[in-house]
Formats: sequence, structure tokens, C-alpha cells
Amino acid sequence: MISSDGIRGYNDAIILAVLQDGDSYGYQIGRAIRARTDDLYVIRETTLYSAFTRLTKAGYITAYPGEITYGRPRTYYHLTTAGRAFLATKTAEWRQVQQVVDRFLTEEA
Amino acid sequence: METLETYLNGLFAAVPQTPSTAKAKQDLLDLMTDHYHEELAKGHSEATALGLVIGEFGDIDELLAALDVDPIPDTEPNDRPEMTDDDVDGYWAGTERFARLLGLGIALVIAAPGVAATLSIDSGALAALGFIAPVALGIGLIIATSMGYRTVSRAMRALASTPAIRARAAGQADAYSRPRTIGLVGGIMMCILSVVPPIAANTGAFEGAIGAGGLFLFVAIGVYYIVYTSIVAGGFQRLTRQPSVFVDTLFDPPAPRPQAAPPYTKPTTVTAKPRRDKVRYDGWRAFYWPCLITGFLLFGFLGGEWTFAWFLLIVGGLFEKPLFGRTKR
Repeated sequence: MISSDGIRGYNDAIILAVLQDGDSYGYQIGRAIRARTDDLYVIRETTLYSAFTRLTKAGYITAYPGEITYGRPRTYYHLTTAGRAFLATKTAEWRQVQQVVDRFLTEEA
Repeated sequence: METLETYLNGLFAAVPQTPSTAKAKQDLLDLMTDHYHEELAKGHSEATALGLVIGEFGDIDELLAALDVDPIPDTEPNDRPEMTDDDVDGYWAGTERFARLLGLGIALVIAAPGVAATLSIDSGALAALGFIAPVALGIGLIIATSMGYRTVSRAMRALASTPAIRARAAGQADAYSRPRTIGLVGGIMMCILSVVPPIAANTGAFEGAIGAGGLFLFVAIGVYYIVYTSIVAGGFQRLTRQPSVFVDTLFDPPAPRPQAAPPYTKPTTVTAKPRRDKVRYDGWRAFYWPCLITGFLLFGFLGGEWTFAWFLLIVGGLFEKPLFGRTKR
């Protein structure tokens, strides 16, 4: 299982990528991350909520009350245009990072 | 979801109350509630589900950094070493032992008149011995175990709890809620059923003295279970709380609870109210009530002087505060 430290810096982009498929709420986003990585990455609730806070402040996502579950409206998140642009930038950055790291860690010397 | 809410309240107790932290707490509770229900749907028990949710919760400091808030500093420097799992296991084992022996001591004192009544069939001297022996043993147990438990709780008071310890305690408290309910209900049932032996004696099933003995025995067993389960549950509950400094409600004054400040106001810290009462003869305090109760029982049951026995108990109760001060230490 991958730790949050190992993937730090890309948590925000991963959440934005999940929201690219449609609006969603906290726990469902966490579950989607877990499912898409075959349980390799389980994002903790505090990490998830910290990312929501950062992304909302930056204007990359917006929050709104959705369906009522267990007596309370769930907070849903929506990807904004600025968020899509940021995700595109992070995706390009990741490709470069991946190339650089690969040259040291995976290519045969 | 009381346990999850208690856990979050504990984590946020030292955090300034602002709209953003209140929202964060509620959203986190929603996240944890969803997680909890999914673990239940997977077939886990409630206690296991709670343990998994709390165990996978994460680091509160990361969240506070994202929210741009700093915890309210403690009113006194907290340089206490942190509790370890071994400390906690030792404390809970000590609490269980205390609960068992204190319950037994109280039960013996309650059962003493019953033993005396049953033995009175044979001889008066045997009845007196049957009364004094359980009372003496019971009071000895109450005093010895109470003083022994002070050592356990003082050792814990010197340590600071951690979020992981509080999470573990919350899980244990939740897992113990069922045994506690069974203990309380069973104890109360025994007290109610204590009228059965005297009623049976009245119908001629056996002698009246045995009926009286049965009454006190039933009450003693009932009280034992109530005392035992309440103290064990209290041991788990105590470690779920903030502030991080351990406070034992049995021997310490109640911990000042953090007050929720209105939005956008300077957070208030709670300081301990200065104690106005002088504490005198404090070392004798542990013996005070056991001695009063012994006097009450001796004058009442053995001497038949019930008026004086009640006078002793009531006046003794009134003198407790002037003699020892208001707060137990």
C-alpha cells in the first residue's frame, strides 16, 4: 500500500481527476481512489479533507449541499474551469516527473 | 455515531472554534459516518467498524495546517511524556482490579446484615460475628483498593494522552457498552428480585431469617455488578477525553471543559478556578465515610439505636465539607 507521503504533491490532482468524471462527495471520492488503484492507495480522511480545503480556496473546486444521508445533506464537490486547467498542468508535469524518475529508478544502468 | 462525534470533539477540543473548523468537523463526521456504514455493510461488527474508521482517520495536524489554524496553547506547559500502550494496558488492568475489589467490598458490607440474619437462627454470638466479619473485610477492601488505585491514577496523571490512545479508548469504550448495559440491567434486576426471598419466606418455603439473608445477598450481588461495570466503563471513557492531560474523575476535580467560543471572537482558555476551601486532615479523608457507615451499621443493626445511627450519618455528612474542604484530591 502506498503512503500519503509517497504520493504527496499529487493528492490534489488525483482528486481533481476523480471529479473530472462528475460531481461527487467526500467518501465516494476516497472510495473511487481506492478502487481505481486496486486498494494500493487508501487516502485518509484528513488528507482528503485537507485537499478539499486547499482546492476550494484555490478556486479549483466548489462545494454545494447535495442529497440528505443519515439525516444531513452531503457536501458535494464540483470541478471548476480553473480546476480543469490546473489538472491539465499537473498532468503535463507528472509526465515529466515520471520520465525523470524513471531514468534513475527503473532504467537499467 | 456518538463515539465518532466524541472522538472528533476530542481532536477539535484544543482548536479555536470558527465557522471553518465547525464545518470541517461536521464534514469529517459525515466522511467517517459513510466509512463506518460501509465497514458495517462489509459484515464487520460495530466495534470493529469503529476501530477501522478511527484507525484510518489520519493526522489532525495536517488538516489544521490546511485550515490555517493553530491549536490553542495549553494553559500550562505540557512537557509530560506521552502515554504508551503499555501504560494504558496497565491502567485498564488496575481499573478492572479496582472495580472488582471495590465492588466486592461494597457487596460484603451490604451482605453483612443478611449473613447476620441467617446465622441468628443458630446463635446471637454467631450472628454478631457474621455481621462484623463481612463489614470489617468489606471496609478494609474499600480503603485498601481505593488507596491502591490512587497510585495507578497518579502515575497516569503524569502522562499526556495522544490521539492514537484516545482513538483506542473510544473503541474500547464502545465495545464495552454492551457488557456495561448487561451489568447495569442485571444489577438492577437483582435489586428488584431481592424481594423474592422474603416473599417466599412468608409463604412458608423457608425460615424468615433466611428470607432476610436472601434479600441482602441479592442486593449485594446487584450492586456489585453495577459498581463493577460502571468503573470499568469509566476507565475506558476517561482516556477518550481531551485535554491531553489525563484526569481521573474519581480522585481529581472535574477537568475544565473547553468552551465553544462564538465565531470571530478571541478563543478563551479555561483556567482552573482557585480553590477557596482549605483542605485539612486530607489523609483521613479515605477513612471518613467508611467509619461513618460502620458507626451507622453498628449502632443501627447491633445496638438497635436507629435514631442515633441516622443522626450520626447525617451530622457526619454535614461535617465532611468543613473538615476536608470541598474538593477531593
